[in-house]
Amino acid sequence: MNLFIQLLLNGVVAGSVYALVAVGFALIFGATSHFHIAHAAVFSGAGYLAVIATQNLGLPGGVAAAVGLILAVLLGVALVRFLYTPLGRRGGQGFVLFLVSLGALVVVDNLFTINLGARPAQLSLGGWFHRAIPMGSWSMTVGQVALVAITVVAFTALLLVLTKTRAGKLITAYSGNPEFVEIVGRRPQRVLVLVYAAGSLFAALAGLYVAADTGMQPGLGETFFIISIMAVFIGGIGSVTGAFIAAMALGVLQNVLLMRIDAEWTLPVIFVLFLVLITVSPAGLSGLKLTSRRRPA
Amino acid sequence: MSTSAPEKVTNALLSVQDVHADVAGQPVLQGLSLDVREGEFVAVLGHNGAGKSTLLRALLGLTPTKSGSIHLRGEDITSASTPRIVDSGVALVPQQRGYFENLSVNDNLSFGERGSGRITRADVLEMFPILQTRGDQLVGTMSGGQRQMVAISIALMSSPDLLMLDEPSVGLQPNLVDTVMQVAQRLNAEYGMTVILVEQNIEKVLQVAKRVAVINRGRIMLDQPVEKVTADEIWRLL
Repeated sequence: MNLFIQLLLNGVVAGSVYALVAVGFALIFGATSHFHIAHAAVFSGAGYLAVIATQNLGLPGGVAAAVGLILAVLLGVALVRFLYTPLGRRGGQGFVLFLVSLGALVVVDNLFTINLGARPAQLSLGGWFHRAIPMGSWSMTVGQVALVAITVVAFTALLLVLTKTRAGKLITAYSGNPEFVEIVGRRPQRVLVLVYAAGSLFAALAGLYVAADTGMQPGLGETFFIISIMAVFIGGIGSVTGAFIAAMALGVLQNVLLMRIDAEWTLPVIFVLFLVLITVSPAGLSGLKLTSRRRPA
Repeated sequence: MSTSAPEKVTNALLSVQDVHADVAGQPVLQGLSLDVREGEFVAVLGHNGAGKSTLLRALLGLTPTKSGSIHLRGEDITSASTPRIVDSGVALVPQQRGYFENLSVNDNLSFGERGSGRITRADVLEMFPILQTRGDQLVGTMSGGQRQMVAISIALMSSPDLLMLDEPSVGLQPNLVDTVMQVAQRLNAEYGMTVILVEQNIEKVLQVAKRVAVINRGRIMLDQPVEKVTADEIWRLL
């Protein structure tokens, strides 16, 4: 029982990382229908940029994390402002935007790998981050507790913004009828920037945690992104709440499976379960089309 | 086929001169010219694909023009962005989905709000009383007729000087068509709003509009006051 609860806690931690990536992607995909695979570059970029800020600029860990966070959000905004939007104006949609996004991911990933090498790039936030908090027979680190708390707070704040504020309702409006946003005199470019900034903020938070916990590595962004896509599909395309719940469930499942199988098999088993799930319940994929418009609520 | 040359209008609120525009690579507007005075109610008629909706979209900057010019109160808006044109006092009720179906009626009206405030929310709800009790309802859960009322209401919330209605009667019950036409007529008569109504329903148009323009193959084939044309004459040009 003790092991189960410890794995459960570990699962919530892993689920929080998945949830941050998945919620950010669900927000962007639900509002814009862009299959923004470079979301993975924003995730890894936050970690790498924070490491660069400590190693090259000598900034303290906390300040470097803030720098990484801001720059990663700016990276997400720059992608939509200078890549997707100009392409969209020239008729680029769906698969074209996906390919461009994939290209951006490869370029950004390789730039960091060239500069920092393939070894894990560890962000040092200080001893407090890895300090254990005993909870009877179980324990969590301060960093893990902070991650879970930040995830819950960020997700709740996003829901409140989406449902209670004018900016959030504008995002909802855009997701359902982007052209009509323009017809009522609003500037769609501003909505896109808002959506990408918010979505990138979530991915960047996850990237910073991973960089501080295990270190950022080449390809890690893609791994977390693939898991987040599963969560988005399971939770219903475009639903940030569905993505959050599904991501948490995947994190918990992946860890609880350790009671029965070796660590290297947990992810393949989850992939198989995912395939079985979408085969049995294809309704969960009803919004798969890149042109789909769903409400991100 | 008899055609009438477009009336030359001086001091036009809207002046469209020799506009060409393509849709999906195909020429749709092919040298279209049309002037609309302040306070006019112009009906634009034409068969499917004649260029009626494309004309309205070009006027709002949604469909780019290849050549020609569009002036609003003498200002060139040919290449202006849609938000800028909306800010200049132009509103469009599109043929389809002129609303946010995933938001409530109140939220939809709020997104329309801008401009001088000459038309208030109370005015709009007085024109469409059924919306008074539906403020919190998601527009996507409403009937087609109610959605059309929301669409027109959103456009009115911006107190536009020029209101463009793209086939507002499509898919509506006859009594709702009458309601929509009466509202359009009232906006023109009571508020002095300039109205461009794109329609296929010739009989209704002749009852409410002051001027009729017929489009065929992207050009104006007839442009006359309603009292100078008959339904038969229009039919011959379509």
